[in-house]
Amino acid sequence: MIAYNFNWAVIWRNWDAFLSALAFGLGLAVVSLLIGTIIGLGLAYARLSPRRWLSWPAWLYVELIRNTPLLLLIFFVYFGLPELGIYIFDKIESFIITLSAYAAAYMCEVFAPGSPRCRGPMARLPRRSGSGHGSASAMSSCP
Amino acid sequence: MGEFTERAFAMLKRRGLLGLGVAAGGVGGLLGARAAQAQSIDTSTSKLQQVLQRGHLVVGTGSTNPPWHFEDETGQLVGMDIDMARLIAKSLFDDPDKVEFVLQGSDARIPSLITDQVDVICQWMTITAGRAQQVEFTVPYYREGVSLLVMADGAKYTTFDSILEAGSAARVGAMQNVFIEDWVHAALPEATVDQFDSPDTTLQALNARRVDAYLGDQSAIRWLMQTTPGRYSNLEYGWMPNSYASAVRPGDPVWLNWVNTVYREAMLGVDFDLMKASYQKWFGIDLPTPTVGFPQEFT
Repeated sequence: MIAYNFNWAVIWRNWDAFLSALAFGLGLAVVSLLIGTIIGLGLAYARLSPRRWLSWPAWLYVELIRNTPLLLLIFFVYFGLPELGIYIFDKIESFIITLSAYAAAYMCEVFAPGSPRCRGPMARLPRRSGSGHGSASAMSSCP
Repeated sequence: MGEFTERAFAMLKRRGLLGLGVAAGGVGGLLGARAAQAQSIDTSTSKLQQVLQRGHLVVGTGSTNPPWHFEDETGQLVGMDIDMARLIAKSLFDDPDKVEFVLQGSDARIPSLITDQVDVICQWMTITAGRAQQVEFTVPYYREGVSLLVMADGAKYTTFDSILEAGSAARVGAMQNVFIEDWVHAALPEATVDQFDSPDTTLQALNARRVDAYLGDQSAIRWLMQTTPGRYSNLEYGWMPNSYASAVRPGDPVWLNWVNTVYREAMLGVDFDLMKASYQKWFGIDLPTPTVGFPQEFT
């Protein structure tokens, strides 16, 4: 048996704090996703480019970011960069930058697999369904 | 007497414990049995008896906060909180090692007591009136205060007064707590407060110069000054006294009173030598021997 009395009054007393924190968190997420989507689209084009000096760095970036836990990236930018002497971003900026960078890699993965130039099982899907044949340029199969 | 006896009879009949024949057996015997029953309920269901029967104590604590609870070079859990847990175990079983430590974050202290996962909390727990509505506190075993730490090299502010003068431009890092912003503002009314999830990340923010000063417990700051000489500078300005105590699940006066007795006699009685050694080891404080004669705590 749990001998516990919930005291909900504390929650209602601080309701405005909960709401503003929720709005703040959602605001950070929306801004970061917008930036991430724009960078991600650019990354997807780079990734699908026939020029290796464009596609390989984009591939490396996506693999690196997607294989690193988000929390580690946040800690690296917030705690790590200043130790390397880089102080330019404050806490809000550094969080937006981190989440944008993470979202960009994610978004690149969303946009890029539509092309036949991509490796992996997803890449073969459009060809099988008849669209995006080898003659179509990589660009045309990107959104 | 008549009225009381009738009520006693009525109660027994309702509970269906005894037949009428037994009830006629005499008022004195009945009252005696009832009294004995009430007493046996109190002690046999107490946590004290449960722990004794189980054969070891279960203590909720942490592992990341020196000098309170942390792992030494050999991986052994040590610290002031651990000493208090071992004191309880010694007092129960004559064996300080009959303890099982449940390692948890500070936010699990109250939930793990409420859900009966642990017998007692020894985890640098500050007594507050709000917490005392959810758990019951023992007598305190340490009085903590907070102080400020800055980097020894290249700190923006090197004295307490300079931080105070800087107003909201000064950024103070502290471990997240519902009351921590008020605590900072008690000494630095204008300062900007950044909260972190643990003392480690707070200190890391100071290392990364994300904050200008680290608000920490004086015990932890003394420890850091000793273990990392030359890295930090203690601003030597203390405020916000707060008492550390153990906590137990509410509604068990037998267990609470027993733990209290153990703690009090370690601070002022038969186990004083243990307390003295712990204070010396973890805080560098040399406790004076309690005066013999009239108990000094009541003077």
